[in-house]
Amino acid sequence: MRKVLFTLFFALFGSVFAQGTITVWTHFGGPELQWLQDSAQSFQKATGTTVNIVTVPFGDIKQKFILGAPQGKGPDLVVTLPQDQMGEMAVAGVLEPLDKYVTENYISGLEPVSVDAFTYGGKLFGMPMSAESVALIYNKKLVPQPPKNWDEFLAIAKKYTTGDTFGFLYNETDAYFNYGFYRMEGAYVFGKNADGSANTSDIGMGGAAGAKALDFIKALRYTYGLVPDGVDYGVADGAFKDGALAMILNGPWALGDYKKANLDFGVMPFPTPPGTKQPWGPFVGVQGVVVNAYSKDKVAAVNFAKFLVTPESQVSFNQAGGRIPVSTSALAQLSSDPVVKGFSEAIALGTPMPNVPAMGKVWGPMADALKLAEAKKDSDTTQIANDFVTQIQKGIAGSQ
Amino acid sequence: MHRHPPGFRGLLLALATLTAAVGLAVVVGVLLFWLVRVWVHDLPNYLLLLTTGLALLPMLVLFRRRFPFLSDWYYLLPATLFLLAFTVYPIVLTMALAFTNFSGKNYGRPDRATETAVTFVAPDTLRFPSDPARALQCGDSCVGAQLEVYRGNDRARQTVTGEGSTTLTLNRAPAFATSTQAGQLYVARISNYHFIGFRNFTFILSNAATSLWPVFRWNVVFAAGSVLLTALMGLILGVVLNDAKLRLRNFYRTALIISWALPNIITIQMWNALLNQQFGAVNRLLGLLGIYSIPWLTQTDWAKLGIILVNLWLGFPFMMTATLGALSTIPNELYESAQIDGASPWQAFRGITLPLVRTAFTPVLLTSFAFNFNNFNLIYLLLPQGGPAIPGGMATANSTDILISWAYKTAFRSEGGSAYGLGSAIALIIFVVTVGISLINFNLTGAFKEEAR
Repeated sequence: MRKVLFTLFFALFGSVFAQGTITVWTHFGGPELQWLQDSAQSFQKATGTTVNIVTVPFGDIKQKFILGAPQGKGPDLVVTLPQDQMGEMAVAGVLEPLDKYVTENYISGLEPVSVDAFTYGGKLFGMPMSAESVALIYNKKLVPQPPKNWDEFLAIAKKYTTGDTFGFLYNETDAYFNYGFYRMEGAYVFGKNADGSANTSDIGMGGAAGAKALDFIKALRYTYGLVPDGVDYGVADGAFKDGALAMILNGPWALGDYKKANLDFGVMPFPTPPGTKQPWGPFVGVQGVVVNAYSKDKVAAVNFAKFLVTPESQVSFNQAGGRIPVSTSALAQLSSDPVVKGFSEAIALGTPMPNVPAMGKVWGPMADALKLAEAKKDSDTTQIANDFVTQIQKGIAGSQ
Repeated sequence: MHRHPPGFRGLLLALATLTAAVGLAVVVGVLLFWLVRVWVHDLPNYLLLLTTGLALLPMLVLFRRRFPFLSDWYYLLPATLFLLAFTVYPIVLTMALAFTNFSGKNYGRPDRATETAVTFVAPDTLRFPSDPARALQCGDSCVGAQLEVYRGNDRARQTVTGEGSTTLTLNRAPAFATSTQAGQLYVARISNYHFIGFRNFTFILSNAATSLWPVFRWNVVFAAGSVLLTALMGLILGVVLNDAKLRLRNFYRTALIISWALPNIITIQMWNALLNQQFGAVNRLLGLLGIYSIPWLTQTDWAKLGIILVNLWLGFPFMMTATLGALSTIPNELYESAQIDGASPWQAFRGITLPLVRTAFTPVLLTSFAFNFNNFNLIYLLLPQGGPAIPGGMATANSTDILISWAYKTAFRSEGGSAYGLGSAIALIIFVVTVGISLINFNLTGAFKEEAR
């Protein structure tokens, strides 16, 4: 009985003393999750607000958030989301516009591309925390001198493609990983309106440029014999971790694991083959913290978001995982880091992923186009590229 | 016993009184809930179920006093309520949604990109910093648009009835308009979904050649092929294992049933790894035999074959168990007399085993067909990224997709962009198709002619 009274007493007073609790959804894992938990603890020490961290798979967050938030089942904030999912969530009403909480000073301390990425309909919907893109990551044990050009890249890749080891692998059927090869040939997702917003009726992934991009991706398998059928993200990533792969196209999110595997690796932009329109340039994703418009405690949520995106936090986040900061002062602090430098070069070559909801209608058809092109050596890439554009148009029209 | 009023009128009377009893209980339950909420704030809404249940008991007793014949119906009441809540309601909702453009984009929630800071001119009139139609992205005029007006945690939904150059008039004043609570007032336009007639269906039919027909054809081939192969293998193994002369047959039975006993959520994903073209165990084993690199899961025909083979592995133990069960009902005397009459084992099998097993087997085959027709787990988990694409087809309908996985991907995966209305339309097509198949089945097997036999 005494024990029960005791517990009751503490339960009652505990609720009086607590400054409230906020819930965070995150897709981080490993060292990055650890970083978030540490940050939550120091935030609790500083402000008294308890932060409850829930891990949600990356692919499920958008759906669960849109369905759950208006019913009071969503988190107070999500750490973090890329900008291509942000547009649809803003239209669905679950994201809080953050302009009223941030200062001019904060905005001017960020890389402009990251602010653009999170601006939709003229409003800021997220606090940018890190940028990312794919780049060529090479194992220094196998590749002591990074390839200076396409020919050197090909020579190294072929040398290590033996059956037991691999020269170059990547997630070849995934849309995000392949955009760089499209850009090389001058293809683009959406054109621009006069005011700088995306023109979703101008789709530049078809025609000769789209077909040539597919031809190049196909050549990686059939002409150069580098990427065999059946290689997905897990296979390529696993081979690199095991030291059986010389070079991989991957992003900063993988670096935590590579460090844990004690790999000595370098990062550089993918070397552009001769005869293309422009240099290889990846999709640039900016990940930011977003706040639930239906949160019961927006002030605490926004404060935690601000706490996570300070330049100091961005530096420690980079050290935990390896993602690239978007704060100019954090970037200056890390300028001597060769990995940050390698990814920064790749990001500088890239284009930001469109953040309009129509982008959701591009990923599926793009993956299908890649699968169809790679399925056969004699696949008709012109036909596939044009079907691809038709599918995007149908998808956008069907969702009106 | 109390007499039940006869005929159709009696049925209607019983249903009406039952509905009245439940309806009254709901009213009392809600009142009770509100009453308790006066003292206990933050009462979770699900307690409504409890208060309604509490009100229902005395209500049923009262109604029985007045209509004594109702007591028979009380036995059916729980099952009926569950049927209404978990079967009828979702079906009706799916049917209704199939004719709307409900989606992640048209979600009936405020579009936050239109959020604008405003002030009250009067309790039902809002002042905008600039042209309201522009700020709220209403198009030409905001009249008729639905808005969410909010300040802090107070929210209200309003319809616009009038428009000035910088003001909007609402149909009525929000409840919190007169409160003196501090904080900025915001307004955002609600992106509503609405009735669009048969547009979802015409969209599906306009893609029929590259999506609907290939998916439907494969759906039928997959279900029929799976049933035939598993039944054949189950039958053969069942007959072999039923032979009393076989040594260790309990061991074989146990070993063969393992693939059915393991949860298929796990085993299907293991097959995904086993069938990987470069690194999967299956291709490595085949490689030892000199067969190289079969593109399981990446080339259309091989992927379809792979799915059917995995389903054979998953499904034959069920058929084997059914066969063993059916065989155990055949009396041994039949075989003995057949032997005395000089019948060969093959004749005994064709003359005794097959006909007797068939009657027990027909319902099993039908159940299995119905199950495989909507076998979402296998299709979706074996190829989580979607199978090989169909040239020119929709991104949500790949060559190994069946109707149910197509509907799921349309409504709930990023390829589909949360198109709930379109997904419901596909689900409705599945509903029509399965009803048709069931009717054909009932006709063929005479399931409804039980009494006539």
